[in-house]
Amino acid sequence: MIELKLQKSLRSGDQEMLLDLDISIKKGEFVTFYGESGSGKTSTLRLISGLVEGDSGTIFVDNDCWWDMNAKINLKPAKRKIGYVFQDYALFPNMTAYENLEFALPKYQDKAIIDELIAIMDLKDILNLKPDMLSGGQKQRVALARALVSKPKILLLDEPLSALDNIMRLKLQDYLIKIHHKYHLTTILVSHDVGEIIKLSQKVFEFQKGKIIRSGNPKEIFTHGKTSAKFQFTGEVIEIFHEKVIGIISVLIGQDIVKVVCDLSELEEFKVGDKVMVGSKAFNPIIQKI
Amino acid sequence: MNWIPLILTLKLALVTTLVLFVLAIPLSYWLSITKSKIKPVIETLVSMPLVLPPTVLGFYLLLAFSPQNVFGAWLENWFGIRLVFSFTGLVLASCIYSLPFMVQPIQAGLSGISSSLTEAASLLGKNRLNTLFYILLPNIKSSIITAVVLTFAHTVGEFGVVLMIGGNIPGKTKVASIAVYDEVESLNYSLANQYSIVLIILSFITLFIVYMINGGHLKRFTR
Amino acid sequence: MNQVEGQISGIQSSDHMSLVFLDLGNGIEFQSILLDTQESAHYLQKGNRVNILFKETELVLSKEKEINISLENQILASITEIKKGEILTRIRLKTVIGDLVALISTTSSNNMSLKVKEPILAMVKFNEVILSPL
Repeated sequence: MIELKLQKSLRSGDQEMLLDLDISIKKGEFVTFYGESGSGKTSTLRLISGLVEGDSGTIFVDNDCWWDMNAKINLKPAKRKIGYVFQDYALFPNMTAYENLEFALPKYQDKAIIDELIAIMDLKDILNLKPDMLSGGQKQRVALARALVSKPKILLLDEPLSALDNIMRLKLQDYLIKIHHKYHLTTILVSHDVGEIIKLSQKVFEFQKGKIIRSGNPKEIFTHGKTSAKFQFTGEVIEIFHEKVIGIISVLIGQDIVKVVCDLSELEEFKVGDKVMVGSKAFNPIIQKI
Repeated sequence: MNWIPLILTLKLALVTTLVLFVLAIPLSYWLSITKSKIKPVIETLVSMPLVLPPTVLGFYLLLAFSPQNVFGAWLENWFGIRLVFSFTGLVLASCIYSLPFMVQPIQAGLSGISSSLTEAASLLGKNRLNTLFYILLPNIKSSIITAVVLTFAHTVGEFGVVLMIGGNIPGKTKVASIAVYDEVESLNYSLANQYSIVLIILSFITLFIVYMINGGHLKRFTR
Repeated sequence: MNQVEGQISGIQSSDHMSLVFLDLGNGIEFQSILLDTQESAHYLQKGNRVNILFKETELVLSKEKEINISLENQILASITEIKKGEILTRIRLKTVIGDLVALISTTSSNNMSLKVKEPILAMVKFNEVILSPL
């Protein structure tokens, strides 16, 4: 259980913002931080990992105090047993993929974990390559594996999938689910992708200007339990067609593109890139074996 | 042609570069991470030799090192070192004079490294020294080579400071640049010409190396 | 999407399904069938107000007002605008519960020779009606 009660004033550009948090995350949960950029998501990960300190408050993990402003307790980042995957992956450019993993191995720890992670993350073929020879998805896998070498209890992922194309992203989501369960991790993901959040996480915290404005089950938060429609998916608008008397909107849902007809009066509400929910009554779709 | 001034020049440049390399790494590292208020003061001091006439520097060093002075006397009485008109004095003066050429490229290289690399290393439990030697320095190889070559080349080209502090003692402080001056003074133009050509070739080669590296031609060697 | 407000006036449930009766005001009653029950959807309470949604393409229009037909939701309307495309025709309707839009084929529209101001019966099957809590 991670209990975070803290305040920190943040500065982004010339704007000052107070990050004011009171959240708790259960052991073994996969949670997501969601919200606009600059709303404090990454800062929260940095506070948990000890890369930065708050102005006041406490951090408790499984009833151990990691940080307490008043008691002057501040556990070092390395002592917090955290795996952290940076947005830019932060792989060491002077080392091969394998050396990156090896460098992360704490003294006197068994090397078996490295071999295990190589197998799980399918790294065998790229072990001897340096980071700038790797594709985005490969870097991501190496970074993920490196974060797990020290067998952390908590995994923090700072928008790790945002730079990847859709197919790669879906694959890596599966890796994330796999390792989350295999290593009994408590995972915190920063993500903007609603579909990804619904697929991966059990709980979402929505940040706005340094505060949590909503939290709960992702499906309920994002579809707001909005309609009785049972055939619901979330996706992104990729194309809008204007027919004579109707509009047609193409929506990317996972790897599939679906098209939805709508009235002309609705077309103005949408633009390419919008996150949308597509729904229909469960009575309408047909089903066939393939 | 007498080779001794040329050998002395190379010896001075080599020793200066070595000494500066060892000194500049902690200094550059500190400058690249510090948030201290005195950072601009230190940066200014490091860069001063870029704009000061070498004679000014030489003049004050001469005063300071002189055995008639408190500092110079103390050195001589306690350590038996006389810095004026000696090779050790030349090295010390050169180190001060070439300091920005060593510090600035290394500092720029270190500052250019994404902070997430350092943070990743600290999350993996590596201390600062480990991070410096295993992560930071190996990733700024081209900056380091630039710094080393520039420092070397700059020391080869020194004149003013060397003349002021070292005088013109053959085999001891008479480096190639002084020798050129010396030969011209005694109207020995052909000898001055020989020293000069060697210096030109030497400078060309060293600078050429820097541009090869910065242009990426040597990338496969520096990685 | 057509959208009108109404009040839940009755619920008839089986294990996984509910038939919801809706009062849209002015004596208009609609029905909606859902794969929800009062346990699975808390807003399903008699007296609760809800949004009632259905696609334009699901509206069926008839010139005859009295027909024995299995379309549960019916409302009298008058045509306020007709916009003809090659294949589809968009028809705006005025009703006591507000404005609606119907998309029908241009062939049908021509066959029925629909005109502005003409009275018409608009219908929608109960499995096409989506509810959304307010």
